[in-house]
Amino acid sequence: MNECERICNLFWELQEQQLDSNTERIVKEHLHNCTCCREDLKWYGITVKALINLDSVAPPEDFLAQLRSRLYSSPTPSSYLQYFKNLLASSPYMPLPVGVSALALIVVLGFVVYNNAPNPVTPQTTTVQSSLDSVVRSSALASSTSGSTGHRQSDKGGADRFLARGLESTSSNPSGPLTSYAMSAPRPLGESVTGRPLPTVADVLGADNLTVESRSTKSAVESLKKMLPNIEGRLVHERSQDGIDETILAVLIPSTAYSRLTTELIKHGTVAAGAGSGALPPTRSTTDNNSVVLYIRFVNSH
Amino acid sequence: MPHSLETILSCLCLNILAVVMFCAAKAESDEDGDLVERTKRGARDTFDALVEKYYKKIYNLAYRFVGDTEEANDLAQEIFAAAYQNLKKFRGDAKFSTWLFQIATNRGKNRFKYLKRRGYFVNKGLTDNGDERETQQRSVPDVSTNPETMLASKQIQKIVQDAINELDPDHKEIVILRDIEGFSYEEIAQLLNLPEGTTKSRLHRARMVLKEKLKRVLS
Repeated sequence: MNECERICNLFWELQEQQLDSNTERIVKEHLHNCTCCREDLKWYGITVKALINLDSVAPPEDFLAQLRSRLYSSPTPSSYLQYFKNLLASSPYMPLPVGVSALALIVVLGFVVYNNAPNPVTPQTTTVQSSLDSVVRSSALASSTSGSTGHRQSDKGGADRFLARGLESTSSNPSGPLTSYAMSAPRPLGESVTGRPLPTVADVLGADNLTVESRSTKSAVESLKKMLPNIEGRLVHERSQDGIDETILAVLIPSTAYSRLTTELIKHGTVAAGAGSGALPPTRSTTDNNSVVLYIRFVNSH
Repeated sequence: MPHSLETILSCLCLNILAVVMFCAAKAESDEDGDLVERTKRGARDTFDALVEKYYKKIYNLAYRFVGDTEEANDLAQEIFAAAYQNLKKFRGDAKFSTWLFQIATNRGKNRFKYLKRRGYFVNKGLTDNGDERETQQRSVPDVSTNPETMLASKQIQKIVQDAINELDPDHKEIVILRDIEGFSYEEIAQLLNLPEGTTKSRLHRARMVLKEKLKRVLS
């Protein structure tokens, strides 16, 4: 950069009187000796003056009237649709209260839908009755091949595993009616979804309530009563409700006799673990190491 | 003793003057702020008052950006419409006038770029039509002989405006704000969101470009 260029770069400071005295003296000395820079400075000054002296341009007379009509002619929001349209158009983000309200609404709706979702019954599901039938059939097959001892062991294992599965399913829907009780068929008996072996009814509960849905509740009750002495059990309490054809028995049985009892009950109809609709005592049955108290509800299957 | 009394009195006068100036500036700012707040609450007449206060300066600024009365009219209205629609976003951190001129500068610059892209200034410039330029040169008196009187002529003003139209947008806005509208460097830095040193150096470069253009036409 030569000296003339450096001097030209100082025109602004010179024009605005921003130069220190020493620099100003140097610039003036250069300008005194350099015609080109002097000419440039003259035109620089003319340019600044020309800009400053530019006349102010007056707006047209109807400027304000035009502006007012432009500003205020847009219709005021008259409907909710227009209001929301303006709301979304004026701001790229939703106002905070609207966002929070929308989020809360989504959460509540999701909770309601989740709670009211029906249990999915796929074509692969089967009813308790069909499972019971298979258990009974396998028990009969076992008894015909391995005698009475084998029969008892097979019964115990099959019924316990079956009821364990039943309990596992009812744990997700404890108050569900028997007719809607369903389970997934492909799962192997005695195995949970996670693959771990399932505990039996006696392991899980020690004692619990059973519901027996039978075509003849009377014969089922009598059959159970006859069976109780054979398994060293006894009747603790009996209650019947004539109006709705329902009988509730409280029985005390040895823990080891649980599977025989449930096998006997299965012969009379569909069995489900759980208290049902609240007709049975809400408190769980007491238990000790050797015996359990069961509340068995017999209902008529129409 | 009289000398010290004189010093005290002069200091007192200076202080009073400073307080009066501060109060005047504050009052102006408060006046706009009050009008803005009332407009935000839905009053229209208060915005009309703001428009009446600034529309001449805004129109002039718009004209300097586009160089045409029709376009300036439309641009100025667009600036006020944008200000009215966005007034709720004005938080009062800066003065209303600063905020308004910020909108005006941005809109003016954008409109200028848009018009330039579409060839609006092609037949208006100094370089595009050689015959017209020659005619201008012949008819314009030599400014350098008597600049004070000659610069006021309509012809010269037209030439200066054409020269401004040929500047690039960054140079143009700073020349308009400083040399035409008379904003301080501090205000320009605030308006354009630039350091003050950058505004000064940019203004110098813009003036040098203009100087060359005017020298070529007027000398």
